[in-house]
Amino acid sequence: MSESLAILLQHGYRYALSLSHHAAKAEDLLQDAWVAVIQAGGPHEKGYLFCAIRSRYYNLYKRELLVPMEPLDSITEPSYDTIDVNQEHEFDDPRLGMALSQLRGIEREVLYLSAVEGYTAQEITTITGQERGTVLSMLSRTRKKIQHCFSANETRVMSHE
Amino acid sequence: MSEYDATDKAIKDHYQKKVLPAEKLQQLMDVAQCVEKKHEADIINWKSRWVIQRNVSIAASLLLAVVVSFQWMNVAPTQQQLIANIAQEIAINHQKQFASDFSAMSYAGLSEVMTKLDFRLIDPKRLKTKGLEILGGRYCSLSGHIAAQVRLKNSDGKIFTLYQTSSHEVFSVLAEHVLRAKGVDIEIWNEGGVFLGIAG
Repeated sequence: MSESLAILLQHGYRYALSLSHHAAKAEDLLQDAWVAVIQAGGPHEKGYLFCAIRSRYYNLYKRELLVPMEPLDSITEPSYDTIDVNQEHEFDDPRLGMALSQLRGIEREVLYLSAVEGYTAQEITTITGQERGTVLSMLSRTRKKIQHCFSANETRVMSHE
Repeated sequence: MSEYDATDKAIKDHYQKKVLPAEKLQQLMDVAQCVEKKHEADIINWKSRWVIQRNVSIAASLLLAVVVSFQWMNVAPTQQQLIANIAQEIAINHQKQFASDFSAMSYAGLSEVMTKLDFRLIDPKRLKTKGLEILGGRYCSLSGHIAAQVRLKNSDGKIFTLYQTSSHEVFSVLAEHVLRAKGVDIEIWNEGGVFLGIAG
């Protein structure tokens, strides 16, 4: 029971991370969604938890669009351009971290659902509410963006050498 | 492996390395257990409250039913009970043999002097052949309604008491009866909008 719960929570955390691309925000999103699921007596299922996380993420996203907010802890930290991406987001591969950071939330979400969770385009359509064609083209464009980012970084590294 | 597959694999590896810190994971699992325990406690409380409320409702309904039945039995007695009650009342009044308060030789004469009555005394048809002489009258009551008690005497000197009251709703539905109460022969009937009873 507790093992399956731990697995479910890890899936939820990764999904929240794909949306927010920020470890602390992902933890907060997961916590909010998890408490809501339990209080509603909802099933301990991945689909249900993902749905709760997703709705919270987009609510937050809309609110941040309306009222720009700057986290308090970001005031003393250096700007994004100068920091090490790996350190900020705890990403192991800085190139992939950089590439993912340049994607929109929906792009990372679609990519995550496809590449990590193994959902089909139709299933992603159901989860995200996007058209199937949109999902397919978004997946294709997102993969290209990441490859482009990789190749650009490699070129930069080679030129440094 | 295509370029896309390689990208997907890199992304999969990348995300699968991300794990929720053990402390946070434990915290969320604790939250789940805590909320579920509270939820179970709420359900138990709700069930016990529901059982209590149900039992109270059943008890209240039964009590109400008993009270209503009791009231109904008292407030709405059957016709037989009403006749028996009236007969008892007439028999008691007859046995007391109170002296008359008003003297008159006819029912019309009594009606003139007994002004509190809300009806006029009638000369009952069924008594006309019995040769009864009017001795006098007085006020009395039958089932809480004002009535007149008329003392009569037959040719043998036997005293009868006749009771007349307006045919109220309770009396008008009563059928004609001949019965015996407290050793007194009683006859009751309705006539010309008046309820009558004779004892003797």
